[in-house]
Amino acid sequence: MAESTFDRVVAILKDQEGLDDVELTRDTNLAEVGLDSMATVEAVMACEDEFGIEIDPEANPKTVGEFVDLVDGLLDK
Amino acid sequence: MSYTIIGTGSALPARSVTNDELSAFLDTSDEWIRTRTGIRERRVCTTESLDDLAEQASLRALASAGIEAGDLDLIVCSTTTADHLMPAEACAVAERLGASCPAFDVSAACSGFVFALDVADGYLERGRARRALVLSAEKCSRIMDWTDRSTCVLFGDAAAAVVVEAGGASPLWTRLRTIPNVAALDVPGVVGTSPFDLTRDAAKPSALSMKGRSVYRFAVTEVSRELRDMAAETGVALSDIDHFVLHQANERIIEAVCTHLGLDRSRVAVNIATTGNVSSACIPLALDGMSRAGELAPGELVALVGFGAGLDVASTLVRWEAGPS
Repeated sequence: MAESTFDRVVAILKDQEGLDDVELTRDTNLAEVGLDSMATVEAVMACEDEFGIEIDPEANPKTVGEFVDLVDGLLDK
Repeated sequence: MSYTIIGTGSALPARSVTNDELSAFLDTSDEWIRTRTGIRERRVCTTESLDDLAEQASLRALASAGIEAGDLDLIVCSTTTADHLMPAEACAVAERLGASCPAFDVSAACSGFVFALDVADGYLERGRARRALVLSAEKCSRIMDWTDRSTCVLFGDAAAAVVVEAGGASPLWTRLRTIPNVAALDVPGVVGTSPFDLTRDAAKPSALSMKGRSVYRFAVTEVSRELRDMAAETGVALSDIDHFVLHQANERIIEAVCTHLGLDRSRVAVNIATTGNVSSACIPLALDGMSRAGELAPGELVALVGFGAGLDVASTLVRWEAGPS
């Protein structure tokens, strides 16, 4: 399950402007590849639609791994 | 039913403050501010009072409407940053203009202009007024924490006004909503000096604090919902609306709404680059700029959407009738 969540989250992140050609791993720092706070919120909102979950509006995942864990944690509930 | 906008006016402080100037005393940069907000500079009061700006904007709106202050039956001012806690900013405007009609303020933060327009519409509709001055006057610079780089770079000062007259084809739609969340965007009130007030020591200063992520998400979600519902309820397709004038909090919010709704960018007003977020004055300031630039033609449909602290969101659809000012 974790692998498929990873793939789906990465697909959403790659939809954000300028990220389609960037290789994303669990350790990728979102800010370092150009995903600022507003772009992160856009990705969070897209994940809510994709997974049918509600994420804390002030959630601030710093890496791809943290982002995936945030989603996975809500899917487990 | 119900009103026509017959004139517009606006006024800005003389002093422009660039991003580079802010970088001199804040840990930020022109590039950071521009890419995240679309703002290059903002106007900030130095010697002008808000009363001065409000008076100038109102006089220009009256002149463009071709009426005098004595013709007004109502003055409604949207502000949360007035020169006076009392009386209302609208009373200061009435005094400067020499008007003696009822004058009061509406407090609905950045959504305030659309709220005030709806209040005026109610007075016209009930026959209590025939002509109303609806203005927004905001001196945001006074409520900033000038050490907080995440907020003080966003805002500016301005006043802008419209004159509305009973009769006409506006509004085709109006909806006001409040989704209560005080902490998301808050400016605490004055602390005072009461010796009996036991909460005084813990009180925060009257400076703006914002939960940026929550506000961004609220704005994009709810502005998109307003426009979708406006189209569905009025039967006017979004592609048939000639101009979208959204509150100018952040260009990225406007871009996200455009993307979510597939709006034609050329129909969406963006004036944030040179004035920043001037709270409730954003919408009438944009209307006045567009009107004076000849960008608004009689008969065109203009959607106005305000959003901000409350959290409030307010939308209206008007048919433009005023000719070039």
